[in-house]
Amino acid sequence: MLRQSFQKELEGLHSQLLGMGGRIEQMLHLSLDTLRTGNEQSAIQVEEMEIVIDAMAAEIDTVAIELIAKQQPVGQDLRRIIGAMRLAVDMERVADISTNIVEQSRLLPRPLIKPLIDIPKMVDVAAGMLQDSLNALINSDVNLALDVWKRDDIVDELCERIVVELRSMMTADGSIVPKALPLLIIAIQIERIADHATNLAESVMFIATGKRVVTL
Amino acid sequence: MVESKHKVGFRDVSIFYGRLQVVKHVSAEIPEKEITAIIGPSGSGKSTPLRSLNRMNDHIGGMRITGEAIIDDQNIYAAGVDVVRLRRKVGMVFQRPNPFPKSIYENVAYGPKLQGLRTKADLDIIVENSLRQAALWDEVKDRLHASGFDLSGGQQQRLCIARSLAVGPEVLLMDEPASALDPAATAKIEELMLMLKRTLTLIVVTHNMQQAARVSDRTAFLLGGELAEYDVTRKIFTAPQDKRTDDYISGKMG
Repeated sequence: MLRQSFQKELEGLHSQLLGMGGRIEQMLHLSLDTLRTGNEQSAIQVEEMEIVIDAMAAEIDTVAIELIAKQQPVGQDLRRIIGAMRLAVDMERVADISTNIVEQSRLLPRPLIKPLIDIPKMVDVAAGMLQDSLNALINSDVNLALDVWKRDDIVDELCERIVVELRSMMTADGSIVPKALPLLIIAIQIERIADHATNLAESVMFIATGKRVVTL
Repeated sequence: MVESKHKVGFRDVSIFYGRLQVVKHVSAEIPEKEITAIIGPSGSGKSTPLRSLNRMNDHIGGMRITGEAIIDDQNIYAAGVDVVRLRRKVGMVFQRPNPFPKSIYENVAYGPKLQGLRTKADLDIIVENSLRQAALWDEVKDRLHASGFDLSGGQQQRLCIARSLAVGPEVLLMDEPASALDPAATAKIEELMLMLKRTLTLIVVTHNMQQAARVSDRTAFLLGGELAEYDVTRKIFTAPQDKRTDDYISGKMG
């Protein structure tokens, strides 16, 4: 095979991304654990992982820039590298958001003002989107990526519902604002995770097809 | 990067052809088992230092060298250096493939035979090993006695590499080894170079910057006979320190 060593380097970049993806999934679940139970152990773990993720993102960026400079990739090779850079940025943001969720969960006075119903639903959908966008990356599965992209609407609706509910609760009783605000922020953060999962899916489609979602 | 042993060195080397100075005070240490690329505009004195490493410039009238060209801690221009032995240790591959007008087998066996090796069994082994090392064996094993000229350009170049390898060099000098080849044959030569560096130190002159970027570990940028910049290749091609290097690699100069 021609340019075997370059293909190996591309595969190396790919496995770095998958390693990063596995970690951010774990971080999201740990941050949800912190939200549900206030478990400080999980919170600390998320914060430690965030440092690792930052380093991984920087490494992917460096490798990608070097590969572009050294290999002058074109076609799908170029898309794989550009795609890797975009994927790393979105993954790194998901890691940041997970730490934000942890921070807000710590601020959350317990017991909670209401049972967590819609937020866990949101997390389930967002985590599923994240997982499937990574599966789509592993298998170059454009259909799965497209499916992830469509699921963003579900998260948006759930988020809207939570915002409306908390707003009316806060309007009715101003004293619950300190208890409600962190939940509101967390809901919006999870909505952002779904947005990043959507971006991941878009990058996967870009790598596989060279097309943008709107033109598919 | 782990600092490995230096195989080749230039210590304040200047080279003159008559009154013309083509290499100006070049100093560089070249690690073993790496690929070092020499880049620079035409006429910047890339080939001259390369050729000086197996003393191929010796026969050029009026050639004079100052400073030290070092291989394995020895100044190869010192009195008493055995040039024949030096050239066995330091092989050379040229821009245009130049097989001898002989069979594939004889091309590779030529050097070992010159060294006095006569046993067919031994020669067979060397020929096969060298052709394997040059990634050519599978393509020619059934026609070893066909003429070297029957091969494609890319195959001829790999034949010339096999011919160099047959005498067991430790350093391989390559002067634009792929500039006469198409992209597919070029890619094969580059893959071959990456394989060879496991055992050899390679120094390649190339006007093809992309090639330098793709294959080399270190890059030397020569300009007007001076070493403008010398560093690990990823630095040269992502963040060169010298503005002239940046201008050259980005096509604004040369």
